[in-house]
Amino acid sequence: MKATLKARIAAGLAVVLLAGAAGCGGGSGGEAGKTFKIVQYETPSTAQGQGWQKALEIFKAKHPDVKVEFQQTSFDAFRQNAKITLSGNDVPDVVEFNKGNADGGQLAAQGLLEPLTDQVTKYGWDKKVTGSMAAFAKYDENGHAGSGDWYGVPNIGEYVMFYYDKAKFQQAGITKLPTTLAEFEAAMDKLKAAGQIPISSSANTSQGFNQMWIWYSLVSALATRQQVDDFMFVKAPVDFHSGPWKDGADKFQQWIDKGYVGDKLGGLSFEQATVNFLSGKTAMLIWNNGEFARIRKDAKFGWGYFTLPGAQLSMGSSGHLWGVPAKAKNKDLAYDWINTTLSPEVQNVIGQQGGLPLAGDTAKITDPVTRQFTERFDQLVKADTLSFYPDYPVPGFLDFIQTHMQAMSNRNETAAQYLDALQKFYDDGTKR
Amino acid sequence: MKRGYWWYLLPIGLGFTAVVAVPFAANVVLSFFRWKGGIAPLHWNGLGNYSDLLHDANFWLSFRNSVFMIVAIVVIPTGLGILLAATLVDYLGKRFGARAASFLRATYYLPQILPIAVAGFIWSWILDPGSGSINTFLRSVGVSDPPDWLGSPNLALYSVMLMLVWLQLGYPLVIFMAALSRVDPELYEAAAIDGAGWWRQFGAITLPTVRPEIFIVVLTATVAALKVFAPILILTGGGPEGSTLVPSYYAYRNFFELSQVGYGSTIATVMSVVIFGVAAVLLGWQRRSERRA
Repeated sequence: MKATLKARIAAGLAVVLLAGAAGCGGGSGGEAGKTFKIVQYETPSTAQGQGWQKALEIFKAKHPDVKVEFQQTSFDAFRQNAKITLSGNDVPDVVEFNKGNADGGQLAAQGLLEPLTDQVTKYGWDKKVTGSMAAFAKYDENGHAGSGDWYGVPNIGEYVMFYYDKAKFQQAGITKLPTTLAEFEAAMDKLKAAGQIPISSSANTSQGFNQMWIWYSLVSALATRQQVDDFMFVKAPVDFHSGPWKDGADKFQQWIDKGYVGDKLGGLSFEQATVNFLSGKTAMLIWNNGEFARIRKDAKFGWGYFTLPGAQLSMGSSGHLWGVPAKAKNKDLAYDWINTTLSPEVQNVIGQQGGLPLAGDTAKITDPVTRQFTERFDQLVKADTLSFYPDYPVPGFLDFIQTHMQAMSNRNETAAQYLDALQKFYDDGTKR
Repeated sequence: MKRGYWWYLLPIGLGFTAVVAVPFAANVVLSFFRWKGGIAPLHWNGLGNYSDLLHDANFWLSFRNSVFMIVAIVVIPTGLGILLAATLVDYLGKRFGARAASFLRATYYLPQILPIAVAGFIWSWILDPGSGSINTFLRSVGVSDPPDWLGSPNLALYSVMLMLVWLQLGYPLVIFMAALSRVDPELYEAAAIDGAGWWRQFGAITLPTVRPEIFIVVLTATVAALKVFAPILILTGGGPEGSTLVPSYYAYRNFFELSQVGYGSTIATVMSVVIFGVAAVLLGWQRRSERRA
């Protein structure tokens, strides 16, 4: 009797375990090939999110027999779990991922993403995504961006600017917008004299990116295309103790010392910096197009924006990328999805919302403020003057740079000490 | 025990194997390799990661910070928790009624049920050097240059500790209040008639009563302190300048930021061994004191 009971329990457990295993592994069950899973992290209310809703409509109409799962995740969640998600057996068919050697490059070098070069040629994506916008779509076998196969396709672009409070500029006696770096510094002196904090900034290790962007904007302002490309794509050794690196870091330290960025930044996040600007505590905010719609909606004062005056290059790049996991089951559908997101219908929806589309028609944007903002981006792309973001070349760079931005902001480190550490981290990281 | 009863342990045994034992074994195995993660190749590194860890100043800094976490999560909340529980039960409960004591207990417990991300954001605003409520208050009482609570490497660790005390206090308080409900009120009355003051009653009645609960709280809170992660992630990201780095965050950084999965596994393995060791010592201490009692 006892043996029979044991056998029954064991048999029952086996059934439960088998059922569980089948449930885990089957995913789409008997509908394999008919369920198409998209994983992305854009908020539906953003310009890109709205464009992708349009893409979803078009895609579903085109493939009525396919069940489309449009999954929402967060940037951090996908970034942290990408390796696990993409190396499993039940992977999505198309995913949005972060660009740069530290993220996309790693995924490509680890064989987790499908090379897309053939599809790029077939669909003509390389006619829409060109120059610096295509740079972080390609990765070599070491995961270095700029050459090798295409592994991702962006839909939009980004650029960094200074949003400014017109009334504060007027009160400080600034009658026209600065056109050179020297004029910009003179304007900040006037703002200081009028009791204003010129630039809203932040340097918390957790999400305090503004100081890093000021530093790299200054480096970019003084750099040539070649110098930035050598650094970004690890094309040639970089000497951080000379040229734009040294001059940019020295100027950054001067800006901290002169009080252009306020003080006590080590504990502030970019959200706090943004709120400080919106609540009238500072005259300018350095950020990218990501806050354009919010500032437009929430600023209770007259405002404008400009890229760093007199800069040779400006911070900015393509947006995040669509990629196809190496283990995806519906790759042809994935290519069609990417193609749909680059279609004029979708791209123009993104453009209307101020999303800086890569293949949209700027002339069709009806709102003049949004059109002007997109035209400035088009100019930067056309002139090939975007210098990307500084944390792309080496895994762990973001964390490293942030730590040193805090130390400099707290006056615990000089520009020279930062450059010494930067040289070592970059050299070690790019050799690894 | 009768052999037939062992079947009842099977479900938990299976769960433990799947959720704890197998991942832990995999983690230990990975700690002997250099590995970028994903489907990248594994490179045998023997005890190399452990040797690197011994010479890694950041790891030792994070380990030192764990001691501060123990102070914030174990020492202060447990001590304060006993005092508050005794005050609420003996004094406020009697004076204002059990409902008032229950209400106060709930307010202390509230941070425990708040999502940690929400708590983190609340505190990042409270501690904001410009418009945070603490500095606004300090300015209103004449402090012209109030501190940068989360931005100064000399202060940030203490600011994080303050938040952790706030977060943790409700847990021991609720447990100790439940324990004190075991005490016959006549015991306190008899002690009062014999002339014992509040502190004497606290030492002679309250403390011995809650001793078993103190062990439980100290054990669970110490383990929590050694693996504290989310508040650091949200409040400081290990900064400023690395001053609030803790082992679990350092392991996470190696796993996800630096793609040094083998090294991250080494940190996780070492911390697991430390946690097992600390838990074993505390359990042994509890058993010995139970035998003496």
